[in-house]
Amino acid sequence: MVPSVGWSLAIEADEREQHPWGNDWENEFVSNHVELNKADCKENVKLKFKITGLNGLADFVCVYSGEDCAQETKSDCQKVLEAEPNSPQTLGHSWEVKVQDIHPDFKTCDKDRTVNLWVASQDDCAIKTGMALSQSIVVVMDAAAPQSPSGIKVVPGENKLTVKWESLDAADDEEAEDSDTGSTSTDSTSSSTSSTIADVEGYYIIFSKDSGSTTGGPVDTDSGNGTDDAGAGDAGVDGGADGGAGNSSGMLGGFGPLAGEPGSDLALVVEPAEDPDGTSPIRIRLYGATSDTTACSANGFKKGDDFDPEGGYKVEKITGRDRSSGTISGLSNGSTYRIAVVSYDTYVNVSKISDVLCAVPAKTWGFDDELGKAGGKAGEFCFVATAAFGSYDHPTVKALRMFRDRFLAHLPGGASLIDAYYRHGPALAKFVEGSENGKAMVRGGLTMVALGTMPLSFLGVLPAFGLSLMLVLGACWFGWIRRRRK
Amino acid sequence: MTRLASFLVVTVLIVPAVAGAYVPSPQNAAFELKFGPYTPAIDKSLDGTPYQSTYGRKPMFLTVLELDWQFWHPPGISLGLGGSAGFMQAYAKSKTVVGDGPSDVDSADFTVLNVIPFSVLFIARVDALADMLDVPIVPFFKTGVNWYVWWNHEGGQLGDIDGKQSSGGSPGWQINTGLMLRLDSFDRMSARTFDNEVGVNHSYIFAELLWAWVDGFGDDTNLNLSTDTFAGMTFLAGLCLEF
Repeated sequence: MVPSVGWSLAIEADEREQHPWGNDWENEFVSNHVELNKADCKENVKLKFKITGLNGLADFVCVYSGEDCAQETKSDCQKVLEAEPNSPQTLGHSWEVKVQDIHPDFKTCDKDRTVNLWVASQDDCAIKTGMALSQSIVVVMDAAAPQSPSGIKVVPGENKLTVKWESLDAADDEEAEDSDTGSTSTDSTSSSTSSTIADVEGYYIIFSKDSGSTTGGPVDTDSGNGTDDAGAGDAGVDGGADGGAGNSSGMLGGFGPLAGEPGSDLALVVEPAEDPDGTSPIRIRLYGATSDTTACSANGFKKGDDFDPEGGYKVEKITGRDRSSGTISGLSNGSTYRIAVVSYDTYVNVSKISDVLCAVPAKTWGFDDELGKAGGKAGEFCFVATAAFGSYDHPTVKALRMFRDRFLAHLPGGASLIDAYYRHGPALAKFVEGSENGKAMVRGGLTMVALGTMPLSFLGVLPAFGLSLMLVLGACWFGWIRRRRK
Repeated sequence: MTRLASFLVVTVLIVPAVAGAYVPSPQNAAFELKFGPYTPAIDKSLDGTPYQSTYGRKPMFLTVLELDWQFWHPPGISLGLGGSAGFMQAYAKSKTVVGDGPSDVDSADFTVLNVIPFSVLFIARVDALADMLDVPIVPFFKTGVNWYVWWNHEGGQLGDIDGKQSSGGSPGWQINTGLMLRLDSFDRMSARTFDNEVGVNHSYIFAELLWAWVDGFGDDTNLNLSTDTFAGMTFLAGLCLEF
């Protein structure tokens, strides 16, 4: 008797490890295809399934696995389960099998393997030719973790960090030239096994505050009395006197840890000291950084660790095998963050943790800083009316202020209009101040505006609109009456 | 009287239709869309070179929309008043900070300068060559006042200069002059159809030179956004429709 092909198969969700990014196996229900990853390859994880179409209970019910149990050769075919006639299992039609028992290759939990499962209902479970087998279920075990991302770099920004890595999409290509100027970079050792069934599907940036690290700007190391500069964000570490717990170096310019390894971006500059007493004859300033896991605090995740869903770090998902960067935002300037990247494949196997870098989000230097340094100014806040009338307390200026506060500010978009005026009025005010004719023209115009808007200022928005509506309706009514009389 | 009315109806409606005569629609306005490079003269009024230090020598890309009201059409010329608004943007990576200054290292942030130039213009277009001599060239001249509104974003947020928001407005004045190529001459039938069906009298492509003095009329508290792409001016090119 051949059981029905109408199989159903489900994975016992409560025994399957749940990933923090969600893989809701409880709701997953596949009819003839099951995908398992390394997290499923544990002693207590079972496949649970139902068999339908069993016609009578007089026979054994047998489950086989292998590549070709349906073929005459029966090579690689083995019995997984058997249930005697009229046993509780056959009566209940509820079946379960440990994942590791499905096939010998599944026991090692480090191989990619695809096997088929069949069911037969016959007078014994011996493997023989001519067995009437059900339709097979394909069980894919992808237990190999994908390759760890390499070439990790971290670029700080204001309250954010941009993390870069070498895309695994190009992993087989020649090693890309590192053309970045000043980012921290290392090569990581790839995972020894790489997935052959499932492709890398994306990456996770994992990060956490590195509470044990010293934070700050560039490391200013004064020989002599060890006085630090008071530069912005310059909370560096005195040379050789770093008291950070387990931390042999400081942070550089919000950029990364200082390490002993001479990286391409590390520069040691000796400058004359700015100490007037001359007790600090030179100052050693370190620019740039290299990466080194030992430069972060001793706490937290490390390179080569397994990804731990309960690891206490945050995860930023970056979907796409070809992606090579991602930005984590909402960070605190001045705080040190421990950063690493893992890759994951389509079966949600996760690689070992990549190189770990520490970096500090920090204020950046942009156009506004350059402009301020060069003497440029943002919009000045003064009043056209004050410029024209010469006094903030002039009655017309007061009337205009009242119009602003009592009427304009309560209109939809009025606040934006006022803001725009305050932003761009100063230039006009300067222009007005410098010209007597201009002052006279503006005075005349603003006086008319002040007189015209005074009723609105006194009434407020709603009464003013109500009154206006009444006036319009009254005018219409008056016009209609006049036309009728004609 | 009735005969006269009948004559006028026949003259105005029937005769042109029978004869295939072209009666252009009224022409009262013009619309322009133009593009060009724009390097502001910010660095010329300051002690340093903030623009070049941040954005290099690459000019911004200026896009301008202009709408003109042509209020008078004396023979061979169109006079109008117009208003325009545009947008241009410069962006670059911010630098990481070393001590109290920038390093050579790019940060994760962008520093973006946005500029919206507004202008009110008097416009004179010399139609004589195209209308009277059938040479499809229309020289034009514009002048007027402008107001360039600017603001600067750092890492997605408004920057600040000495505690004030990094934004402002600079008034000034400008001159535009250039040549328009009347496209009607290349396909008169299509041009007439365009007029009859849409009301567009003439279509042009054009190029113009722009001199803009945008420095608050010499006020050094204003950001100097005058043209400095090529020796104090720049060029724009675009499409113009008269309707």
